[in-house]
Amino acid sequence: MWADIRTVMWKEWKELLEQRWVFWGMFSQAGTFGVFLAIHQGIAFVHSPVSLSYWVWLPSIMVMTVIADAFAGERERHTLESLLATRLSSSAIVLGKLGTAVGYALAITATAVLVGVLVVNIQFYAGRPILVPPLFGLLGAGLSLLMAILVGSAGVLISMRATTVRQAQLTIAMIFVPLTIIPASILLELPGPLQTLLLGQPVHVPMTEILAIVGTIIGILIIADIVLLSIALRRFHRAEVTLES
Amino acid sequence: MKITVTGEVSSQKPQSVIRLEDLTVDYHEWRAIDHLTLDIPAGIIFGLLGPNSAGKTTTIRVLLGLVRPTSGRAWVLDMDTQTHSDAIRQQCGVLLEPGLYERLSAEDNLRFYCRVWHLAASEIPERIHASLAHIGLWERRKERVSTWSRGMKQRLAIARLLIHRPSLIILDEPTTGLDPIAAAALHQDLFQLMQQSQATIILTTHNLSEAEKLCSLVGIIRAGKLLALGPPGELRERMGGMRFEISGRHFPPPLLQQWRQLPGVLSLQVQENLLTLALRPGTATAPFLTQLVQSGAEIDDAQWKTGNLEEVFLSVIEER
Repeated sequence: MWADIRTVMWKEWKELLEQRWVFWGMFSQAGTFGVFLAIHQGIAFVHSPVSLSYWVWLPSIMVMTVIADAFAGERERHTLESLLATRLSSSAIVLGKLGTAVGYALAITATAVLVGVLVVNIQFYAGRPILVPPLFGLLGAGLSLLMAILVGSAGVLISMRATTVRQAQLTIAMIFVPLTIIPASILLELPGPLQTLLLGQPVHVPMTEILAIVGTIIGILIIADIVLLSIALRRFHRAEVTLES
Repeated sequence: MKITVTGEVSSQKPQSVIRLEDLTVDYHEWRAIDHLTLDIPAGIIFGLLGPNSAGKTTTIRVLLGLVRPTSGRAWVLDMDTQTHSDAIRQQCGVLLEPGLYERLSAEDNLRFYCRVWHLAASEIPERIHASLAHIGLWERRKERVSTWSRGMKQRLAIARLLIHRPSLIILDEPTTGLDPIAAAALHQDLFQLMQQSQATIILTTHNLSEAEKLCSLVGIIRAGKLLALGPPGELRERMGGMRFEISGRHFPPPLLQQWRQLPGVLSLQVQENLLTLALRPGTATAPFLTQLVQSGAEIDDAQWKTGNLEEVFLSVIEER
């Protein structure tokens, strides 16, 4: 099973890398995004909960761009049926494609963060390197991963039914773009101290409270990931996917 | 409908590699396969012939577990396609569409499929070299497949499906896009493969001369129904594949029109000085000659000619 997942990922990465302009273009955009954020947020970039929200938002967007192509793209390029006719299990195909999209999104996010940290250090270096606090980094990486899996699993469900990549991209965007705007609106409606905390101002909020909020979000995301991924795996029936062709 | 193979396919009683029993597949309102019953013995090249939308590709999809039957059952290598489709796909090499990753090189396409079939890492370079060298494309292995001609892609697609040396090979329109030389090379390969590995080959095709050259057993299908099944030679005899050709002049049109209505006449064609009659087996020819002479026609020559599979196909399709 792992060997098959790796095989699918190998093929997916090869195809991504062959689209050099797209691939490196995304990385350069992510780098620019990192520069912009670091200049805009200053030193808060390395520890503000707002920058944490960007760590969650960026991989979600990046996963959307890749996962739409996963099945709809193969269908469009007339390779899907040949892939389904191989010995590869349905789970290996789904997980291999999802793994590639998530890996790609996390790589771009990591690039953006690294560039941002570099810019902060260039701006504010005072004898000691300014680094992301370990707990903050861990939470950021965890949230990025969980969000990428969530969006990726939903993308798999959409892509396996879509007849074209464009249709898959539009459907994914219709679902997830509002989901990224709504949290921003909610943020503005939050009580003052919490809003201040999230905007990175130095107020005293007990660490236990912060961990409780983040822990709840992570818990919800883990459950949502498991549910959505299970649905994606269960609903990937070769017979139905073939008939969509 | 059940049609039994009466022709000799092999000297021993063959074991069925594919068995369809009253198989029906409906896509919403449209019936793609209509109560199809079929046995295909092991170690042969079987051709499934039919016009567009006849149900050929759907039949293949059912065999691979890519489409669920509405009713009836299908077995491949004694495994039920609904419960053992994973195991069935393990044994098969399939060409459903070129199915090549055009952004990748030919070498990477083959490498991917080598990995899919779990070939040993040490074996992969040699297998890729042998496959590409065999189809004459080794020198172009690093090129993106998207830059290739359709014929080159088709050759690569066939190399890809054979790379793990499957015991059951399923080809959907394999020579589409191939020039006559490449098509002949493919025919040779398929024959060799069948002889060397005892593989069973199932192919669908519109190309009737290809089916006649390659297949020891053919099935003619239309609207999901099996209309005829048998070795090409036997079908020619059984389905009225013999034609009676009369060369001469002044064939009277009213008489020809009258003949067209006769139950023994399957078809009648006049081209310049040649009158061709496809007759049902056992139909006497002397009355036709007598009537022609009496009506003032001049006859130079008259003889029986063996029909080809194309004529059988057309007569079967038109008849039903």
